[in-house]
Amino acid sequence: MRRKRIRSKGMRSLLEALLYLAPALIILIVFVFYPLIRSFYLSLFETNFMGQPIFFNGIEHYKTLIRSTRFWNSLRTTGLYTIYTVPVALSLAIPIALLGNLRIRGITFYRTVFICTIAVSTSISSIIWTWMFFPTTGVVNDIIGMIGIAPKRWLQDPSVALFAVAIATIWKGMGLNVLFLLAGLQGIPEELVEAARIDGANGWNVFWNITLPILSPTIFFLVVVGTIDAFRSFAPVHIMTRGGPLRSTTVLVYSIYQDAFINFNFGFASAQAITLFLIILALTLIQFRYAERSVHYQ
Amino acid sequence: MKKRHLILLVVTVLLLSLSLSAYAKVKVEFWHGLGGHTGSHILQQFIDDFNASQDEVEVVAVYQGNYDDTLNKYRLAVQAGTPPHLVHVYEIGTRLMIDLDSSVSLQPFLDRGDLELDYMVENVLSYYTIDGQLYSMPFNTSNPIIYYNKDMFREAGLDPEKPPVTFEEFREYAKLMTGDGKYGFGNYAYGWYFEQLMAVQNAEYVNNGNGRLGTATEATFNSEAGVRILQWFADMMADGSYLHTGRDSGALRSAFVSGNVGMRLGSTGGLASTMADIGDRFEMGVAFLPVPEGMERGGVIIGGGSIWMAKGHPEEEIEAAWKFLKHLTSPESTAYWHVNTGYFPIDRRAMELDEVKALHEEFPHFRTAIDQLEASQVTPATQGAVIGVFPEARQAVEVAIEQVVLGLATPQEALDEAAAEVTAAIRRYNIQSGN
Repeated sequence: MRRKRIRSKGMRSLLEALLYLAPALIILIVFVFYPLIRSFYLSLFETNFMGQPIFFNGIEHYKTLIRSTRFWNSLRTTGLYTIYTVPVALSLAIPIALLGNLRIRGITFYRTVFICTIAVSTSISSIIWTWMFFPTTGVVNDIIGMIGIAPKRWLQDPSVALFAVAIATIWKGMGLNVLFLLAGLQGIPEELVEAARIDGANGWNVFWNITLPILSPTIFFLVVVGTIDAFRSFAPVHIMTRGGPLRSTTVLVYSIYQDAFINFNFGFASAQAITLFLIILALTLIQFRYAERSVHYQ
Repeated sequence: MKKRHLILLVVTVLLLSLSLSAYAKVKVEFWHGLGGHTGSHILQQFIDDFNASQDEVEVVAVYQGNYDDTLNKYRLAVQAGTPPHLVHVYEIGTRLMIDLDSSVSLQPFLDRGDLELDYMVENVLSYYTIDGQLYSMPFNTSNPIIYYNKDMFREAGLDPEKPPVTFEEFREYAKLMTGDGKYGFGNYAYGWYFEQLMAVQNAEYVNNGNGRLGTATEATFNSEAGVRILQWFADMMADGSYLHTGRDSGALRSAFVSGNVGMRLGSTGGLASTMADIGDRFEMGVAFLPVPEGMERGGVIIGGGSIWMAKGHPEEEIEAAWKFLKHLTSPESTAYWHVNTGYFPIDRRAMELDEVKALHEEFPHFRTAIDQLEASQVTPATQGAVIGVFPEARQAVEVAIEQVVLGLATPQEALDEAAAEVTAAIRRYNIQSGN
């Protein structure tokens, strides 16, 4: 009798909790879980050009994937793109945020300049960078010309195209990185820094032993989110290079897009999407398992 | 008493709503893929004028991104059961649209004698007529021409009134104009130009009469003719006269209108806007596409797009959409479209209208593409290939072009690889569509 009442009470609070969670749950189910399950289902089928399954194919698509050099290339491109963007973006953002944390006149203007890229949409920033990278009339070649570097075919040369796309991505992501780091810096207690200074610490000691450890949760967060973002990146590639030249910028997501929406090969595209999902999941778990050890929580 | 009031009220409301619906225009949603000034101003103006000219139909135009995006969104809308009434599809999507089986054939409307297409340019009509049925209404029709900078011709000691006729002359002229940061030829990897340069040589893209005599099963563009095109590119690359702008038409356009590129290939649909962009900077000329020396000119393929009417809408709305399609093909409409963009006047009567005559008098440029189409022989090669995997084929060819201009493969190797890929795609498509 008593146990029954407890159970029904537990049931009630579960229902109540579900009610509060419902808006979020419904959105997640409709836009995340259902598509995920549907992708997995489709990846086991050959589809017609409307994306409807026509016959069961087992793990055939996955086998093709493992054997496809194009898949491995796009995976490599995705990895390179992540390496070009995440560490570089952070190592640029940290000094900018440190300078932005100084209490001097005009600092709000300085901060605004670096944070304002948040307000620019990815598509627009990609278009602007495309214009700046134009081979004959682009301003980037004019600028490097002034310091004596020969003009480059930024988006036409397969050896630099991915780099060029990464530059645009780093610029676009700068605002968010700086904003988070600034917030982290402002959470550092003054007393800690003062105490260290009294003990004779110089600027470098303070940065290395106080600032960085306290910032580490923020940096860790930015690395995880940045990596996930880089793996899911689509718009810069679509707008700036359409995956070219010679597939040198075809990251995995772009390859999925091409297979699904240009080649109408939804089954194969779904198999790639599921693979991408597993890779991101694994990477995130690894980051939490190992990288988090060096994170210092206050 | 009260009940009578109520009844009176209900009757009044009913009558009012009836009369309102009689006055309300029938809404027709039209999805198109024309970006930039052409879509946002010229097409919009055309539609606004149509809406204002009568009180039965209200066309609502929605820009859905480029042709690929528009077609994808349309397919998703069909799956979701909410397609627009009209959708604008590029010429190479014709086979796919027929196989999707989501649209109404226009033949019954023509058969009831509602519209005479006797004056429509024949190549255009025949492109969209498959198995004796007109499936979609030809709309913006174009083919590529050479755009060239007459000032750069003069500086190089060339006669600006004598544009190159053969591949060989083209290469030579390009070399003469190159130097000092300028390039004789600018190009971006675009499969459409390759298709057209095949047709110029009267060469077919796929087997079975370019897919018109029977379902295509194999890509054949890795033939001698295909190799000749890429070899021509490679030669100009070796001369240093070829500016490759990747896959970006914008970069090429900017290089050309700023006077850094002597010659480019381009769609006639961009003629008016290119002239506007150049302004007084230099004098521009246009010419037929070149042919390899000693070869008889085949012709060019119709490019551009047509408008399809989706199934599953109420009769009344279908009729309203048809009214708009009829309006689209009038001589006045096609003249407006031609004068403002450079796309063809697909109704021959438009040529007799004063505004078109005046335009051709002042800017003979606008005649070039029309003459080029008229000079085309009608063969399976110049009618264009019919395959369902055209977007994929174009991408494969674009990769082949890139490989060659970047010096990573010979023309034959690059095209063999692309052809193998397209053949595989065609076979897959044939299985998927049950052909």
